[in-house]
Amino acid sequence: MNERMSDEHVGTLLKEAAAAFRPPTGLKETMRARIPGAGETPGPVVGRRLPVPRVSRRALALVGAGCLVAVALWWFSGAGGPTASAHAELVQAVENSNGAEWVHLLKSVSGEETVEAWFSFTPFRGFWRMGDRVAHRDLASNRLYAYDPSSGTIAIDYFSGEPQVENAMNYYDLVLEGLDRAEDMRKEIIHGKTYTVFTVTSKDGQTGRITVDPQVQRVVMMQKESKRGLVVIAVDYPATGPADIYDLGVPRDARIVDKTPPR
Amino acid sequence: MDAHSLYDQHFDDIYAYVAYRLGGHREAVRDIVQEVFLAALRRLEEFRPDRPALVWLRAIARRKVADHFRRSGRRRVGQLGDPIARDPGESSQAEERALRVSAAMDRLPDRYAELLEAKYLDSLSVKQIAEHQGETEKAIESALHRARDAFRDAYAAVSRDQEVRP
Repeated sequence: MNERMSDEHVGTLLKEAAAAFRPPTGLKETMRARIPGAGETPGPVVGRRLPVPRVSRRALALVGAGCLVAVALWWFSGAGGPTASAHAELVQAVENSNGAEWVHLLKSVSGEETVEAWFSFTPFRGFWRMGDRVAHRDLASNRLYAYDPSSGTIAIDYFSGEPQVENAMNYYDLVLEGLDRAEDMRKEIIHGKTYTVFTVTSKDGQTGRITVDPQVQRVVMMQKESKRGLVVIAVDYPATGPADIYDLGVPRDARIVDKTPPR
Repeated sequence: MDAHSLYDQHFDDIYAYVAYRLGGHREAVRDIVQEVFLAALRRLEEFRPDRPALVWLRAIARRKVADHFRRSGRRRVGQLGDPIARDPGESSQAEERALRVSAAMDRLPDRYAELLEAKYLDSLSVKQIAEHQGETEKAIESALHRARDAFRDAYAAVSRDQEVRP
């Protein structure tokens, strides 16, 4: 490179470099389903109850506990409680959220992503990814598949107790845990799009926000303060989810340790 | 601007930017592009409509790329004479050149790289950069001058390295 490039050439090189790569065909559409608010989402479920398989009833009672928001709001709708329309909207939003084929959740604390999870309700299956650790609970077979990257193994076991979402993703916990009352429900226009934002207050005085996309009447975001900082859970509803833990990056050659006792 | 428009209008640009910064590693690029849009959605309230959305998204992408390098603990493409990662036969000439630019940028001090991107990718004026960084226009002009010189040298060095590689 003998010639000294001009200032203009420096700019041209940079601009061309930043535009040189094109995404693979189909990636934009595939990824769209994973970006809350960016994709085409199913319309609201109105006026019908979704079929609930026998095996998932209990699970839905826990994982789909968002429905209890309605109950909670009824109970705690005393002073400063929501209006009837606010209540109805939140109930509908949570029911619609529970009615999705798949729910995808991304939790961050103070801006750092901590847990990603997918739930399928029919049949009920849950997947979690925390760093390199991946887990899958299949309620149909009552099995837990847990990948431990430090040992490079996939442990298969029956899980005992109730299928709780526990620390994997406190999506519904955020709504229910210590919920005291809904202080407020208002429309917020965020960059041209209108969202319905519920402000809820916990019993210890902390407040949280539940953001609902009124077009699809589903919860799209939850936020609350915690000791570790602002907890944000972004929610979207992809058409499909992981088929197995290998879809979440677990190496195909990971050693399988089957701990299931004979039944 | 809502999330749908943001995604639709700028997906290709953000993909291209992340791919160029990562040297075209497709898996990582895909993950980071997704992280960028998820982060953008979470921070939608921070977006200022009076500023170009792409500039805002690119700033998020810049941070995500930096996080990626920090997490993965590996050097950036082209740093310290690393071979430029590419799949032979798959890269176009434009991509090859982009990888050289990326490698050259990686050899620059962060401040220089940021200034060059602000000037040429974000198309900010010297005045805007100065306001944003709380410095005088003269200081920015001078730093930009040095940044361009450093880039020229780095780009020449990267090109030389490539020429001697079998």
